Amino acid sequence: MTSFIEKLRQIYPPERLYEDEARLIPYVSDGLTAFREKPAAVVMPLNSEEIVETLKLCHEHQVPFVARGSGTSLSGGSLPISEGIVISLNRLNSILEIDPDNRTARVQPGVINAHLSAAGAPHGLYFAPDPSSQSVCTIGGNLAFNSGGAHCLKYGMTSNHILGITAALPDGEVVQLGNDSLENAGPDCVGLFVGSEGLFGVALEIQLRLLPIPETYRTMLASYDSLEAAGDAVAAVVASGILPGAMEIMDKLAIEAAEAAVNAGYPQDAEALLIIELDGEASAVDAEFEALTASIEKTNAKEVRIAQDNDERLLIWKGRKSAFSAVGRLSPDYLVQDGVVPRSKLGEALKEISRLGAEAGLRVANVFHAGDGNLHPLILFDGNEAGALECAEELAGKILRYCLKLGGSITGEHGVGVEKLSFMPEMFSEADLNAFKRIRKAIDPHEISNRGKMLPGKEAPALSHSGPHPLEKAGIISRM
Amino acid sequence: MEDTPHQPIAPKTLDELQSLVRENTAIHPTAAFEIPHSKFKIQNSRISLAAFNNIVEYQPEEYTITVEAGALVSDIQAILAEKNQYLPFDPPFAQNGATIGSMIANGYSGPGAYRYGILRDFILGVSFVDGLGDLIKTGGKVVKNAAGFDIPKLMVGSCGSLGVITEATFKIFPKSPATRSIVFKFSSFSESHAALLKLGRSHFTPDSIELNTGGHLFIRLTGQAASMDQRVQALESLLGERPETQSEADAFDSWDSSVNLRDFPATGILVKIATTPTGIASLNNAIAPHSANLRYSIGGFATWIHWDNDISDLSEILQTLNLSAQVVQGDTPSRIIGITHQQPFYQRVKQALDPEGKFSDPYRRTEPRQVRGHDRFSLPRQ
Amino acid sequence: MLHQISDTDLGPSGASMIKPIEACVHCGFCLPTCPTYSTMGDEMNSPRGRIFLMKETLEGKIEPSEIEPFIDNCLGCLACVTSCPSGVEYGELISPYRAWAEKKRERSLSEKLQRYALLKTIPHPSRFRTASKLASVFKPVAKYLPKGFGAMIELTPDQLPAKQAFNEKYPAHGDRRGRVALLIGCAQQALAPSINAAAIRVLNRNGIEVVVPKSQGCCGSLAMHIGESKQARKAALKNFDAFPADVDAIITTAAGCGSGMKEYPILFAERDETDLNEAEAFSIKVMDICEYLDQIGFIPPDASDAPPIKVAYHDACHLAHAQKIRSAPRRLLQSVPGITLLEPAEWEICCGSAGSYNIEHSDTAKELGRRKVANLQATGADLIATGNIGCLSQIEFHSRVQQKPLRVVHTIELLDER
Repeated sequence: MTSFIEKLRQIYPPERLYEDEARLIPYVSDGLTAFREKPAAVVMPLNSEEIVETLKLCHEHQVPFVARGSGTSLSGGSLPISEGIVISLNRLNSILEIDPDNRTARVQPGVINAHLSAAGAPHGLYFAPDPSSQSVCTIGGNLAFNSGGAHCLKYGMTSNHILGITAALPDGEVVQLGNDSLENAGPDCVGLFVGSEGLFGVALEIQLRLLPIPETYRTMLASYDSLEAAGDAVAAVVASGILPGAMEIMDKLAIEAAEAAVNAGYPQDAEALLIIELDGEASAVDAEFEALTASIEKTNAKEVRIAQDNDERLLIWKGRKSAFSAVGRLSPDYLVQDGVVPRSKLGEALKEISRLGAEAGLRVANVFHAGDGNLHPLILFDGNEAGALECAEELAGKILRYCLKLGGSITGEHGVGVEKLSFMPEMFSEADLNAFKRIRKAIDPHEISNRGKMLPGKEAPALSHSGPHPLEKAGIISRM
Repeated sequence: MEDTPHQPIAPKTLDELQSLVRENTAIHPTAAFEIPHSKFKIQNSRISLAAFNNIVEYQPEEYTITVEAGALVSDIQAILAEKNQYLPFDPPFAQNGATIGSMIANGYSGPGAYRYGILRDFILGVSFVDGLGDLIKTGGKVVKNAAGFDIPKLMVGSCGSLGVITEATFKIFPKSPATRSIVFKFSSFSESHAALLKLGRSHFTPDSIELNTGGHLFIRLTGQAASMDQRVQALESLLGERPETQSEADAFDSWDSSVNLRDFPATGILVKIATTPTGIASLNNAIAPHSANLRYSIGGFATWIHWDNDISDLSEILQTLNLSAQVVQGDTPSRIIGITHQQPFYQRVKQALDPEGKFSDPYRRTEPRQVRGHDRFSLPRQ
Repeated sequence: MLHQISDTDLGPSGASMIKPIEACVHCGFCLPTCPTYSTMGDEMNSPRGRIFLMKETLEGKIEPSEIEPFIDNCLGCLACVTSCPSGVEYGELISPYRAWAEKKRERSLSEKLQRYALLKTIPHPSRFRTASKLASVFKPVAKYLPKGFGAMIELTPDQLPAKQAFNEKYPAHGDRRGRVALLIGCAQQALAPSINAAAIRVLNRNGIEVVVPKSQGCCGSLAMHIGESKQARKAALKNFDAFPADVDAIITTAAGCGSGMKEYPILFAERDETDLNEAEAFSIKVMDICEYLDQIGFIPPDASDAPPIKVAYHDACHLAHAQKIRSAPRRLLQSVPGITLLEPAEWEICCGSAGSYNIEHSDTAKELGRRKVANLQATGADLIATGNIGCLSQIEFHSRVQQKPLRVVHTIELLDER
């Protein structure tokens, strides 16, 4: 390690190589503070060459590394490794090119999601994936975790908007995947790289697809007396053949929290709130809106409101996108889950979540992407109470297992990270996991790139969802 | 007991398929990725997945469908149509008996992919038998899923080189209530190309866009019937040209012809090139001196070319233009021509999923090899 | 988030410090609005990073001296509070933390001198005037002086406007609608006495009687801002005596003073109850001039023949973030005939003035000043309006440095007759 750090010092000046406690502590966690680990060092590269040099060095010394952007992962995806380094990509934040004729852009990994859309705006273009943290999360992080957002049913996830990647593999080899076309020739290697949770190295340059900013939006708020009624409304809209850009549901607790955070003007007396957004060419949206209104009229909505202008629309979304963090107002701690269920089983799943919550004696707030069945139960607990975290984790586990039972997934958009490692064997067979591991090994023989994420087994510490983690017992990691 | 190379072996069960893979050293190429009745003979197959042709699960309200790899695209389309749904990537060659497995392995999408994306954007899950004979299930059956490596996408365009695809789940969409097809007949390719770029810079989101080399720009709009006239007018004022509106029958025939490349000659080499709307201008110029058929599909993002000359000439042109392409039909040195920049990464993945190199490699020339059947499978002969 | 701070060692301000730490969920929504994070790009210079660091320090896991540079880098602009969905009151952590850490801190002689110089000049208009005359003598050699002193001298204007004295009372015009007391401030009084003069005129014209208590002094915000609580309390106590109780509001025209005076109760949280009660009674009356005018129903000046003018409004952090006043000044400006209001990009990011920050951390302050000026210039406005003297001087100074001078005025000056 000493000789490794020595060599690192030859790449980075002291102001871009952090080794002291005070500059390492802020990197111990990402958006999931239940897990903390202090890296041996943090480096801040300014260009691709420095990254490649760093990876070669890590490969040579078999030192694990975690490349990270803004550290907003909700699954511990950018949790550092105690005997490894963190490569902070925040200063590789240039938008290299916007090509309005082809509706594409080329960016560095540290570009903030919302900054890309802002840069596209003068050309009438935007980047469709819109995770709630879009004001701060980076494209590199979106790519690594195949981030979603509120508009996935219609527009897909990050993966559907990445066309090409120049990547440094974990041994420092630089490869080019995909190209600047929507089409490809040969296997879709870009598709494999996106969502690989940083296990395949570092994306140096990313070619993306931009979409034309819809000519018009129509955003509707409908409130209901129960979550079930809101869920039924979603089913009715889907059955009518309309394809809305987004369909989101929030329950009473989430409404209360979001309202306290941003005063979005949500109805306060509702048990459930449904946000539906149409987008597209004005005349097409007008016609769709009529069809939407007709199907919503048949539901038992308490109140239906339409955003009158763009400011109102943005405020509605600001409330929705602040909901996770806003729940911090209701409770000192919470766990957010990310399970997916078939849309038609939303009602069933929500009923079970509330039953499980009551059984565990914990409050659960629900915010979810109803259009694609992606649930986000937020389990509220007070970490200062003995056993509360374990109890919350146990409840989270039960919810995920129920999602699997309904034919869904353990994660829709947050990724496996460290948080859901123990659920991988429940979703995938041994043969499936072995295939994953063989691919991992072929690309990263020393398993140094974001070691310990996604793949359970030897390389990953056996994180369990109840009781202290073995590394915690050994005093290596701690939970806050 | 020996099978002749041209007789495909048709395993009936997954076990049989897995044994076949385990017991053979070379499987070339994998699976039933041919398009049987097409005039385009897309590489002979030695294993037929004809027995794997079931619709496993169709949940219209979920916008998902799970099918076995040997299911015919046309059958899937018919079942979806009953519920007013469709495959948004607009698979080509459906009328010629293409299987869904062949669509995935070859990575083919049609002009309608312009609006929402190509095949890789709609594949949610895949099961396949890898080079070790293991059955691997990846992805999921729900429209959103981020668990594990996205192998379903990797399989798209893999040319059967990473495993035998047995089953896949797709995201599907509701059909729009109305469509309108129009043709802008410009007098030259450069005019229609300029119009394409103008369209790209606008907020218009047609369902399909195609160009031919003769200055025709084909556009299909989908949506609510009430909006159509207005949208056509808006396009007219954007492009400054009055389009021809096609009758329903003409429109059907015209799109069917283009999605199945009906006006391309049946023999010779057929290639799909990954292009860009701006890039097709130089491609068009480069190809012009050679007599070749070209069709610019998916708004210029995919180009189909029929080539009667030496394949190395085309590969050279593509390399000069920094383009990569996939051979659809024709005996060519490798399935991928032009630039082959993905190869180093692909080789690592190939090594992981097919360590013994049983499946042919699209970046390399492979001689057809023979697949041995096994008595106990009582394999049908053709 | 979870912590292991034992509040018994921290005194009464312990509880106030723990609350924000508990409320923070480390989501990172504060990052893009933080001026130091957006210029430096590293976690220790971000609000959530500092919360982590303060937590570890208060837990006793790391020495306060180790985290000093990153705490010092914080401008205290509180943009993070505006952007925080979890409701973390960062200000209620950093101010008491600074005071707590200051006690354990050993400062160099030069640092001490600089802080002493600041606290002994800026809050005293007459000394400030003398110092600034002195400063202009040193300007040619500023770059050879220690960084802080150099910046102090560089930022001092070459010439100050003429001294202005105020009456004790200015009666309302027409029917009296209310009665207020005005804090005239210290630095502002030396740099731009015209602001208070305009405030008095506008208030009077709106039917408000204005009293200007003679014995008032500095509000103490500057001292509070840099962790000198003792000095700040002294200033507050002086004002408790100076200001009359029979007024509807205590008005300030400087956002920094307003936010500081609204926080007086925090200063006395660990003191005796009488002082705390007095602090609460005082601070509840403190209002920014725009907040007050908007509340009473502002009558705009008759400016029907004034030429049209494009005005970009700059949100002072201590008004927008600390006092959450954003719409009032905009509403007031828009009510004036002929004014077209423009919005600059990155409104939430500090201009780098931040009390004495531009003196203590001149490099970051310069970068922020440059960025702010660029954003304001991009609006194409004829004039910049803002609600704080610090921002006003900072923006003017940096636009001059960039050789594209901007005219910056206080909002109240545009509400006056043109």
